[in-house]
Amino acid sequence: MSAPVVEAQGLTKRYGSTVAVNGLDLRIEAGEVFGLLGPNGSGKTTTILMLLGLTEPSSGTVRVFGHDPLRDPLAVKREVGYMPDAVGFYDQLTARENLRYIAKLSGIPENEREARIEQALIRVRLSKVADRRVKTFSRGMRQRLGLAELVAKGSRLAILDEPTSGLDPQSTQELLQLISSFAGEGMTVILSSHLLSMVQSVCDRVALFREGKAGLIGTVPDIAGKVLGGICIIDLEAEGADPEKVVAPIPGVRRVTRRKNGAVQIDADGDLRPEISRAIVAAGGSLKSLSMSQSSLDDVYVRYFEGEENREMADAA
Amino acid sequence: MRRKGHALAGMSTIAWKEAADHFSSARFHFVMLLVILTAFGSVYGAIGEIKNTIGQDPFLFLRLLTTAKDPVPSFVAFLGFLLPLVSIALAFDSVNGEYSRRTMSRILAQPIYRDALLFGKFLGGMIVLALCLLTLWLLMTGLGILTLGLPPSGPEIARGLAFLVACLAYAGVWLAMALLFSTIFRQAATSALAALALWLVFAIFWGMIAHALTIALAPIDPTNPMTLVNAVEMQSALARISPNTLFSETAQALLNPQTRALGLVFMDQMEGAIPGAPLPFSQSALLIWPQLSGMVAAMLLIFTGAYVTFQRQEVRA
Amino acid sequence: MRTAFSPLGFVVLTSGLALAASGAFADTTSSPPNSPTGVWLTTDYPAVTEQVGKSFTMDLSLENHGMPPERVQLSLDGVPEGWHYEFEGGGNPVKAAMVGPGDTRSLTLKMTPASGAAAKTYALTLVGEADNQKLSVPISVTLAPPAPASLKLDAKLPALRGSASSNFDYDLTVKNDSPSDVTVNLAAQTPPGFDATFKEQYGSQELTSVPIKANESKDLKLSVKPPQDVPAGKYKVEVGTSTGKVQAETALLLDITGQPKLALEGPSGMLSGSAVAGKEHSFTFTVNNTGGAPARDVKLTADAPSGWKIDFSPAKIDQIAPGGKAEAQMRITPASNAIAGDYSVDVDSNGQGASDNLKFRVTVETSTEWGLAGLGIIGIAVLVMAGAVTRYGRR
Repeated sequence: MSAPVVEAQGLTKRYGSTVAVNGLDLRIEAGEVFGLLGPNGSGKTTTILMLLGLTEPSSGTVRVFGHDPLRDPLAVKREVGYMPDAVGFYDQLTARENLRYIAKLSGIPENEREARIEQALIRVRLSKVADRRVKTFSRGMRQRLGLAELVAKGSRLAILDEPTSGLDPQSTQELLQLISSFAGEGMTVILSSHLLSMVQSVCDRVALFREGKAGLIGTVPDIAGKVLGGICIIDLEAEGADPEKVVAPIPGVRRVTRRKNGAVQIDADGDLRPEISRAIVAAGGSLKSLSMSQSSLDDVYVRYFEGEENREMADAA
Repeated sequence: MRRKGHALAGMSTIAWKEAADHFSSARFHFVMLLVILTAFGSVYGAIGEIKNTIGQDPFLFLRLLTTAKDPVPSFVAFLGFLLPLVSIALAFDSVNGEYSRRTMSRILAQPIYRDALLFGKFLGGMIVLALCLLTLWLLMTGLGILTLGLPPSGPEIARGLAFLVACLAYAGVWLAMALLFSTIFRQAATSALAALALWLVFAIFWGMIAHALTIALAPIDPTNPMTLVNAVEMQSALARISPNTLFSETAQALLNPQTRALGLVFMDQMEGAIPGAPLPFSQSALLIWPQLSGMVAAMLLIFTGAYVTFQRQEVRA
Repeated sequence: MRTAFSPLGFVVLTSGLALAASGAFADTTSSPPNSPTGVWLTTDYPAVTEQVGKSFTMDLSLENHGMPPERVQLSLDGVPEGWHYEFEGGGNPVKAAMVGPGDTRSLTLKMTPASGAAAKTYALTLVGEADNQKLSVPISVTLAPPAPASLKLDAKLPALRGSASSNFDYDLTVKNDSPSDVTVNLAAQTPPGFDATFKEQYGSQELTSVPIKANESKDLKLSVKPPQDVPAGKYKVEVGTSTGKVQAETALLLDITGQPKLALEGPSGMLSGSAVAGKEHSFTFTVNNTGGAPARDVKLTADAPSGWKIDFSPAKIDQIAPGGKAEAQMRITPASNAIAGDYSVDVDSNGQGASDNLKFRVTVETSTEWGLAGLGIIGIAVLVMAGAVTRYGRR
């Protein structure tokens, strides 16, 4: 890959005495789906605004497609599509009119405009309702219309702020599929979310935000490894043997936790499934299920922020 | 820091979109209906009054606009009262509306600067006002031709057009005011209330306030006539803080060519003056020039206030 | 009653005695002497002189004292050939009259002599025939040739002096020195260009002829207006009056002295101009001398509103030849606090014996400095906005 799509160094934003973003270093390559993950108020939106040049960084530098959003925000905005948290439209206008307005503002030549709008509407499956007022649109349709805008604009980088918040599971799924398909076509996507499963399912890499810092950046397994220290989590369901007793002695097993439904979660240093199955069978039990989940971001997330809370407690003490 | 790109790129797109929105909004239809109905009512009354009382007048058309038939005020008085309402209806939610619709950041993510948004909104409002005033003026002229049976003379057309410009400046002041309130207050209702309160103060109470202030600041000593002169001058200066006063003075001098001075005139200034001799248009224009330029300057300054407030705001929605 | 009536009765009686002694008196012997009874026919003047060729009348009266009512048939004896006569009573021609006791009838005898009647004395007898008596009054009519008619025309002041612009009014008296009423035609012969009109003395009606009763006179006025550009000199006007038979003439003299006459003219003939408040403006006024004599020491003054400065250069023109003109600059500075609009300025030119004035309309324009100030205010506002844009722009 050539130059990175986004490159940030020491990006800092202060509002008075509070620090929203603190010394962020970020490098996003073309074609990546990059997740900004963190709880509300951790600095994700501020970072996005700085990338777009809508907010001035207090210090540090950003480059988006090699342009400084501070000096040349228009060049950046021409390349970047932004879908804000709970995107809004002009309710009294139709979907097409909304897109047309944006297309005019983003400087799409007049002869291409209508065709691109139509294509974008087809792409997000809104062409049938294109001439209905946005007033009548559901939340999911609005989000899709937001994506259509990025398509029509021909953005090379899409920044999506909480794209699935407030959507029902089906709409979420649809939306995520669309986002994945964009990425497949070479669009770089940055999406911010506090929904871990979502980020996990579509993102190539993730930055974990905490107190304005991207504490961890990397692929999901990388981060999991870092946070969890390379632990594998194995789910076990067995009958006829007490898994806790049987599994615990196996070398490499760190912890065995019984869940409410009777299943058992085993934290292990490696993939110990052969050993565990053997042990269960040896103990006379029957194995109902045995699966290893890739360390899920949920765990990473929980652990990561658990650590933070612990530290806070320690600080308080 | 010098940023690249044209500050007002996209302004005309925004202006025309705003104008189109206004023209299709029910709120605007309602206010314009009010204006047109009152305009017809007052001009209808004026026609009756003119036919009854005034036979020959070189400025019959202008009489149409200034003649009141008890209890209906004249067209000009109505316009002075209602134009601010039109402007407020156009602009009281123009900026905070974008926030509450959550379209602001989406618009600003397009390759335009914020400047273009505010300038475009103001310009859009002015376009609407200009078109409406022009229409209203043509309606009145047409009505005059129909009922009086003669076309307006050259000076009357010149005066009518100058009056149109004055109306636009006056409406512009209130448009800028409403725009300012819409940037200051995040709630459209608050901004509307603030604007309407100010409108009431200037339209109804300002005379009393100016009077009270004059009594407090320049007490009249019955033995010293100069104090009376001072008081009168102070009162008219205070009254001219209100754009409504500036507008009504402008209208008076433009539509009543016999008006030779606005404000205090001493007897010795009138010595030798030929009573009832109309001023040439250029002199009337010169007479109201301070008022007109005051309104234009007020419009620009209030808009600048709105602009600065808006530019300093954080865009997070 | 009787005593009160007696003096009149006595007078009538005496005249009756004198005029009709022979007939009337003789028949009334039975009456008491102090109160005669009877019927009389009388006239005041039984011997008259009348003009040849004219009709004339005589007043008669028929009286009855103490007699029963009596019808009296009237006639005239001794009427020459060609003469006509007629009695009139109560406005109508009558042939007889009736008079009751103590009553009197007035009658008129109208006589028209023959057209060729000679101028001499004619004796006629007025006859009244009653049932039992005959009343007769001898009268004598002398026809005399008419007195020669003549007309007199006098001017009270036959020679007047004045300028070409003045009116020459002559008071004339026309006298009809004849025994008959006449209509007098009036005519005046003037030098060319002069205008002469006859008027009543106290009135404005123009006259061409005037009726004058016999032996009366009438005062008239002749108004002569010389043309404006007439050179100075003496001019004669012949006034003639005529009745067709007789004329009367008189000559009037106009001594026209040369007179300057000023005509003031605004800049290029206009009566208006414009000036800016507080700024000096100059207008060129032209003084024309349309009179017949040079105008000397023509002073130019103007009456303007207070606070205005006005002067002329030159303020005094020494001499303007007849038909000539001179120019003067009016420098006018409206008061600096003058408000815009039209003002009237009275401009006067005053020479010796001649003057003219005009109302000059000055349209005061206010200075455009305030307009610039207004532009300045807008400029400042624009600058503030520009500053804000550079400071906060492009976000």
